[in-house]
This record gives sequence, C-alpha cells and structure tokens, in this order.
Amino acid sequence: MEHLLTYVTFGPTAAALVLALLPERWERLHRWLALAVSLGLFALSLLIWKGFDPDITGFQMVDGPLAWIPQLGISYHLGVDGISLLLVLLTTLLIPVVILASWTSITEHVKGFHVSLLFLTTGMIGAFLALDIFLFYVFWEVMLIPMYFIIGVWGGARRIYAAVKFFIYTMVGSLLMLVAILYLAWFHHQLTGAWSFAYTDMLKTAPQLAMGTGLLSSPQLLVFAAFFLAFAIKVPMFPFHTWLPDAHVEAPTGGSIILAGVLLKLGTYGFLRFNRALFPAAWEAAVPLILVLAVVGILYGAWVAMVQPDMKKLVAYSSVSHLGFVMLGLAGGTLASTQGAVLQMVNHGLSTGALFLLVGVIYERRHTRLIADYGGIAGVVPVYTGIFLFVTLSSIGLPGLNGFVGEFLILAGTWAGHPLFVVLGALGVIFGAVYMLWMVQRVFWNPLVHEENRSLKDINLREVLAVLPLLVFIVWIGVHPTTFLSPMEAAVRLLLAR
Amino acid sequence: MPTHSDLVALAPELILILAAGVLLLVEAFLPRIRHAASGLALVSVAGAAWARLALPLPGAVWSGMLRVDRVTAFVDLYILVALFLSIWMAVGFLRRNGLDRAEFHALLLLAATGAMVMAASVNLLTIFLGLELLSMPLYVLNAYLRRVDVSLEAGLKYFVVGAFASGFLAYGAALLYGVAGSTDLATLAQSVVQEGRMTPLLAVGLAMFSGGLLFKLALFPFHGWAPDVYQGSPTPVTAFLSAVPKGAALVVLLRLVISMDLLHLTNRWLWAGALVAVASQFLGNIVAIVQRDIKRMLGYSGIAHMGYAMVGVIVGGTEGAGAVLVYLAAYTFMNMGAFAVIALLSESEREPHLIGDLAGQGWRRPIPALALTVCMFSLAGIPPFVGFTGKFLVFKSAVDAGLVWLAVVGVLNSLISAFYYLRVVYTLYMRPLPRREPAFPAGFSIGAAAATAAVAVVLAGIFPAPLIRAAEAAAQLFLG
Amino acid sequence: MIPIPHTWVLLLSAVLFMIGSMGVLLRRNGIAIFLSLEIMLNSANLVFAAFALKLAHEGQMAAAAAGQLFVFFIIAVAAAEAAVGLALFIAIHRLKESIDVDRLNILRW
Repeated sequence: MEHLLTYVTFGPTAAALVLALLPERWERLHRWLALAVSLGLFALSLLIWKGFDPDITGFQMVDGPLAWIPQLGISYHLGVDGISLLLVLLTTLLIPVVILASWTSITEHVKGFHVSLLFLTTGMIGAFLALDIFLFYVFWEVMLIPMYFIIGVWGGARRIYAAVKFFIYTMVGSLLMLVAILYLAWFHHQLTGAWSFAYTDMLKTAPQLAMGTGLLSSPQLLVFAAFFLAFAIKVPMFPFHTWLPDAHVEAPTGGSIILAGVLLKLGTYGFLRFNRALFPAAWEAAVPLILVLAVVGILYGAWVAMVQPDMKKLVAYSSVSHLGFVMLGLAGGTLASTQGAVLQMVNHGLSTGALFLLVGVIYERRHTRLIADYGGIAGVVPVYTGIFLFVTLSSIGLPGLNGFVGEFLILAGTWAGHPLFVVLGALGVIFGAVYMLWMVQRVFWNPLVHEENRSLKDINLREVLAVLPLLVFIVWIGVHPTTFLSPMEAAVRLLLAR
Repeated sequence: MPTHSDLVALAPELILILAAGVLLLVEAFLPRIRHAASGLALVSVAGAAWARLALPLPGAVWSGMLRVDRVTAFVDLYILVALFLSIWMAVGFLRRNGLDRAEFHALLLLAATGAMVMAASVNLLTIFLGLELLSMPLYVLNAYLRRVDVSLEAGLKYFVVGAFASGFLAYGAALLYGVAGSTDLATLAQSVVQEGRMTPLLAVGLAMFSGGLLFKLALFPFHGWAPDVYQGSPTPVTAFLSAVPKGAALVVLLRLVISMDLLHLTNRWLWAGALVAVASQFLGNIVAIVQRDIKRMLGYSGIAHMGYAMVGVIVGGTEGAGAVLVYLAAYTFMNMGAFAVIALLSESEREPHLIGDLAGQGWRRPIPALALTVCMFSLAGIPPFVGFTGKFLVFKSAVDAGLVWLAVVGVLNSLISAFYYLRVVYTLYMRPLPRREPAFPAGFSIGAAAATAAVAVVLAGIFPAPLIRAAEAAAQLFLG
Repeated sequence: MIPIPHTWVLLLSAVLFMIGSMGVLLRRNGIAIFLSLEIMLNSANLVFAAFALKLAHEGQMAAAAAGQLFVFFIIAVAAAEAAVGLALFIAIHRLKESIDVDRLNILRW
C-alpha cells in the first residue's frame, strides 16, 4: 500500500479530530470508536510487518521526501527499518490495551482522554518513523502535550505537580537537543553548501564533526551530549530519573501503560538512532560512562524498588532498573547485546505494561496501591493471581518467557567486552527477582488481614481481554524469539558497522 | 507635488485615514449609527489590506522619505491583521462596558496608520512622525475606561513613558543628523560605512535613538511600563499594543542595524544587543512566573518575546531579518488569540484578570479554552505551533552566525517560560470549577477573533513554508 | 548676528535634556512632569538647530533645511502631545481629585 506509513502515523490524528467533533456526552461511542480505530491501526501495522523485507538494509516503505520547508531543507520523510518496525508494532499493540484498561476507570471527560491518547499515538509513531531530524523533533515535542494532559487531568491527587514535572524535565533535554540539531544543520551546510535536515544526509556528515580533546573543545562531543541529555531524561537514566516515579504514581492506569510501554522506549531508541548512528566517535568515548550509568540504574532502581510500599512506585523503579539493562546492552556494542537491547525494549513494554495494567485492576476495586493494604488475596481472586504471577515471571526473566531472551542476549553479548558490568548486571537480575517475588508474596499469599479484601471481584472479561495480547507476545517472544530478532538484524548490523 | 506613485504607495494608509475621518464625523453628528462603526472600520482595514496586496510596490516614494517594498508590505499586512483582530474583539468588549463609540475605532485606525508609516520610513523625520501618530491615539486608548482607575493609570504611565521615549528618539535623531548631515537613513548608513568605525557621536546618537525604540518594544532596560500598562488598559487595546508598535519599531531597528551592518562594525553592538536581549528574556520570564493577573503575565511574557526577537536583530543579515519578520507574525497571532480569549473570559474591567478565575473553564467553554491553550503552547515554543517556527528560525540564525551561546540562553528561557504558560493550561483543565462560577459574558465577535487567531497559529505552525518564503523575500530587500 | 559655535549649543542642549529627564523621573506633579517632557523635546530641537547651523556654515543649505524642518515638526508634535496629555490629566483629576502621580500608582509587582 502506498503511503502506508503516513496512514499509520496520521490515522490517529484524523480519528482524534473526528472524535473531537462528536458531543461530549456520547461516551460509549467515544470508547468504541477509539477502540475500533486503534485495532484498525494495529491491523495496518501488521501490514507493515507483512510488507517488510528483512534482507534489505536501510529504510523501507519510504514516504516522501516531500518538501515541507524547502528554504531550510526540511522535508516530510518517513521510513521504517527493523528497529523501528518492532517499536511501531509495540505502540499499536498497546493502544487498544490502554483503551480497554481505561474503559471503566476513566469516567470524566471521556472524549478528551481518547482524543489525547490518539494525538499521543501520532506523536509516538511519527517519532519512530521520522527520517528528517526536524520532523523527529516536532513529533518528539508533540508527544509532550497529550501526555501532560493525560497525567494532569485524569491522574491522582498530585497530578498537576507530576504533569508539570514530566513536562519540564522532558523539555530541558529536548531544548538542548534543538540547539544541537541547529548546529548539525549548520555544520552540514558548511560541509556541503546545502541546507538539509534529512537523516540520511546527517548519517554522512555528522560523524565528521570534530572530536577535540575536552568536552568543551569538541563539537561532536557537545552535540552528542545534548542528544544524550534529552534521551537520558526520557529513558530515564540515573540520575535523571526522578520525574518517573511521580509521573507513574499520579498518572491514570492507561497513562502509565503507555508511558512505560512506549514513551520510555523513545529514549532508548533515540540513543540508538542518533547518538550511536550519528556520532560513532563520541559514542566510543562515552561507552564507559554509559556502562556505569546503566549499571547504577539497574542496581539503584532495584534497591529502591525493594523498599517501596506503593505497588505502582515499585513497578516504576523496576522500569528504571530494566531500562538500565537496555542501556547496558546498547553500550555493549555487539550484535547480540544490541539485538538483546532492542528486544528488551519490546519486552519491557509488554511486561511492565501488563504489570501496570494489573495494578490498575486491583486499584479500581480497592482504590489503594499500598502493598500493606492487601495480603492473602490469592484465594479470593485466583485468575488475577495467576496472571499476575505469570507477568511477574516474565519481568524477572524466567527462561521460556520473553524477559529471559532479552536479558540473556544483553549479558552474553556484553560479556566479552565488559565482564565486570555483566556481573553487576546479573546481580540486578537477582535483585529483580527479589523485589518482585517479595511483592507478590506480600500481596497474594500473606495472611488475609483486611476484611475488605474478602469481597474482591476477580479479574473480569474485559480486563482479561486487555492483558491477553501482552501475554500472548510474552510467550511468543520467549519460545520463538527469532520471529522478532531476524527483522532487526540487518538494521542493527548496519548501525554497528559505523 | 506628490506623484501618482506616491499616492498609490500610500493607498492603504489613506484608506485608513479616510475611514477614521468618517468615523469621527459619525461619532460627532450621527450618534445613532455609531454601532455600525466597527463594521466600517473592519471594511476599511480589509480594503487597506487588499490595496497593499493588489497595488504595485513602487519602492522609494515621497522623495525618498518612504520606501514601499516587500518589507513594508509584509509588515503592513501584519499590522493590518493585528488591527483587524483588535477591532473585531473590541466589538463585544465595548458594548459590554457601555463604550461602544466610533471614536475608539477611529483612534485604532489612526494608530495603525502611524505604525504603517513607520514601517515604510527610511528617513528619521518620517520615523518620528509615524511613531508619534502611532503613540498618541494609544495614549488615549489606554485610558479609555475613564472610570476605572487602573485604566487611567495605564494611560498615564504609557503617556509619560512614551513621551519620554519620544524625547530620546528625537534627541538621538538629532545627533544622527549631525553624523550624516541628512535625515535620510541611506545617507547615514553610507557615512557610517565610509567612516568604518563607531564614533562617539554616532554611538550616543544610535544609543538614544534605539533607546526610544526599545521603549516601544518594552525591552530591558526600558521595560518597566509594560506590565502595568498591559494590566490596566482595556483588553482589545492591550492586544493591539502588544503587536503593532513592536512590529513597527522592530522594522525600523532592523533597517538601521542591517544598513550599517552593525554586527561587523563594532564588537560593542553584540554585547549591547546581547545584554538587552538576554536581560529581557530572563527578566520577563522569571517575573512572569509569580504573576497572578494574566494580562500582567502576558506583559512580562511580551518582554521576554521581544528579547527572543532581539536575537534576530543582533544577528542581522537576511537570515536574522527573515527570522525576526516570521517571529513578529507568529507573535501577533499568538498574542491576539490569547488576549481575545481573555477579553471573553473576564467578568469586569475593574477587577484584576486573575489566572485563578479561569479554573475549570476548559470544560465549561471548550472552544475559547482550546484557543487559549493553543496560544499558550505556541508562546512557549512547542511544535507544531507557529511560536515554535518563530523561535526555531531566530535560534537558527544565531547558530548560523556562530553565536551558539545566544541560542542556548534562548532555549533555556523558553524552558523557564513553560512554567507560567503551563499554569494557565492546567488551571483551565486540571483545576475544579470554583464554588461561585464566574459570570463570563457570551460574545460571538470576541470568540470568533480568538478562534481565527488560534487557527492561524496552528495552520502557520504546520505549514510554515508560505510565511517563511514571504519573510525571506522581504528580508532580501533590507540589503537592497 | 554673533556667530555662536555650534558646540556650545550642543552643550546647552545636553544640559537641558538632562534637566528634562531628571524632571520626568523625579517630579511628582503631573504638570511638572509634562513641562519636563517639553524641555526634553526642545533640547532635541536645539541639537537640530545646532547641526543645521553647522551645515549652513559649511554651505550645505539643503541639508541645513532638513534639520530646520525637523524642528518645526517636533514643535507641532509637542503641541499635539500637550493636548493629549493634558486631556489625560483632566480625566485623572476628575477621578482622583489630584494629579500627584505617586497617588496613582496602584499597580505593583
């Protein structure tokens, strides 16, 4: 299909505009229509999968370049490669999940929620598919507004604080990235005499930025650092992670799912697509730092998660820990570790998305996320317990499920170059198991002391339907990861060859 | 004797003056049809815009005192759009305050005429006259709500500060006359370039002349009047004030700077200009954060935004000039939209327009709230709105001129500004309605003006190419 | 006519400008502020006259005329400003019974 990528990117926007025109009070229509659109979107992205040729290196199904601001060399240019393919699929898979998960928990301003969600979808998919740096920046920033609304309008008690914090933190990084982008364009102009913001052009000129001796005397390092900051805040890497716990705790369930599921991946994707690909020399120099920060993230995230009384905060810190693994894999620099990192991006989206969904399920019933308010509910809600346990095992990397494949590839791939960090990372795996299983123990199997818990309703059909796609892929990736590893191999090889 | 092309060149201004005259006569002798005044005013503005677009641009006219070329056309259109939106939003506003008089519109038309003359001026005398024609109606208009003391205070402050600035401008013009031996800008530029360096007389003359212009732009260190005047003056006048004088003054400044190529003439220009720009940005943004009155907040925000525009002026050249022109257009739309919504969502002109009064209105009045939200995000410089386009171009011009640090300071300030723009947005949508719901009036014309501005903000943001093309074409002529 | 060196006129105008500026900034009475504004504008007039004088001495009559012309325009503008400004003061006086500008300083931070 021609322009398939454009349809996938802007389809949600068109739907959002339609929804915006419908009256506010037709709540059921808004929900069903949004769900239908999101399922259609997933179907479209399956078409991308079908049409994707794993043997081609470079970008496929390219849409454009269409001159957007010709005076500056800015064009509308979309394309997909193995890496972005997986992430786009993850995104379109999670949107229906979010809508189903929020079916009964979002009761006010339903129209606004779904409109925001759809605009957010456009932003996320666009960022993954953009082949023009200006376009990427636009999509990157565009995501801020709907997410800000989702946290701030439909969130918890401290939602305004969390939403503003999310906005400002993200903006800090992205604004410096803007200056870096401007500098890159100027540098390109100096070298070639032409103005261009095209990613493919940048691939040729950016590596030629001078690498000086210190940070301040080296344009490549400075530009690299600006991009680094923007993505490090998004991932989030230690020490830029402090916005995440607040954002997750205050966000509504659907917001948390998409935040953890996709938004954080934009940071890791950015590291790969920009820092690694455009500035190989600077990346080389920065690998030690990235390794250290990654491992600190893994361990710190795990330790803090262990002492969290709030389930959502626990999962939030586990995100910091898991994404530390992804960064470890990226820093590892081998085919295995990078493929493992990309796969883990998807895995984290599935597992942690599912965890947030499940926490939301129980929150909707008891309106508390404190572990201490639960205990012994395994007998009351057996199906829920089973699913929760299953997802926990995925999260901690049980062989046979998705998490194991990713973590193994990362650790094995990094071992040759940086064994110490692998050992520390493996410790993180162990800690991960500790805090997750301990939480599960406390919530499901300790003695049932709170009477309210006796009357808990088990997970209902809609909620099961919401989490089911995630469970399916958790298993699929775990038992047959090649389906997902082979499409990205060509792209990863190409990247690592730089 | 004025030639045919002289008159053709000034056709838009003449249309506005004629309309103003008619309106004044209507006010005096036909008070019963004064309600139709706004219609006549809007028609005349449209007519002036059509005249500017349809008639040829002769270049130097009126014995070389004015220059009607693409730059002038760009700025004139921008002024006329701002004028149109101001009059449109004034209709409901005036009726509500019992001041629905034709003289209001006549004064606005005359002020805009003055701005247009200033934009077309390449002679110190016409700049001065245009400035005065622009300012005097505004002195009156700021104090239009005669029974409201903050309005009178706004009028007084604007008058004293404005007249003070005119004094600086006149004195500076006199000194520049001494340098050039002529009041013509081109002659001045020529003698400066021949001299090759900055003489004390030129430095003082330029400093004072630009000082007068900086007053109008509300840039550091002459920004003090802006918050008070923005807060007190009637909202449509504030809207006009926030856009039109800035455009006119910036064009004059651009003409001066570029013709003398100040950036390469003397190092001090960079430092002086950077000081003004950076200080304005920080001051405007930081103090705006603690403001509780939204018009006052927009006053400080205006100071900061002129600081960003100033970066483009410092850089100069076609790139800087093009960026400034785009920024002006962007700024007009965003600000007009914001003020239009404020005019709509205000209970009474005696009370301050507190941001807190807007709590929960996002859901109550979705369309004005959406317009305001769009304008707020645009002012903060978030894509895909036109405010981002303006900032992008200005910062790009800085990076391309080798002044990366200016761009970094600029983005840092954009970040600071996000705080107070976000506050408006979250008050609209994330705070509950107050117990006593404010009795905001219904108002079609104001709502329509707001919606138009907001739509322009979005469209120009998503498809900026035409605007950029027009600005760049105009900017080429600064050097010609 | 005793020829006056134009530099003396410039000096005088500078002094007058400063007096005027100080007046605007420091005086409290509205009328006094207004007078100071007039002094400022007239000092600019003197500068124009001084340079016009210099140019006339050098024989550039057209250029000198430009400066003299400017003086007339400034005078006209000052008169217009007077009209507008005094009308403003009358309106203020009607509301506040005084034209002490410090008393009309309600708007703060």
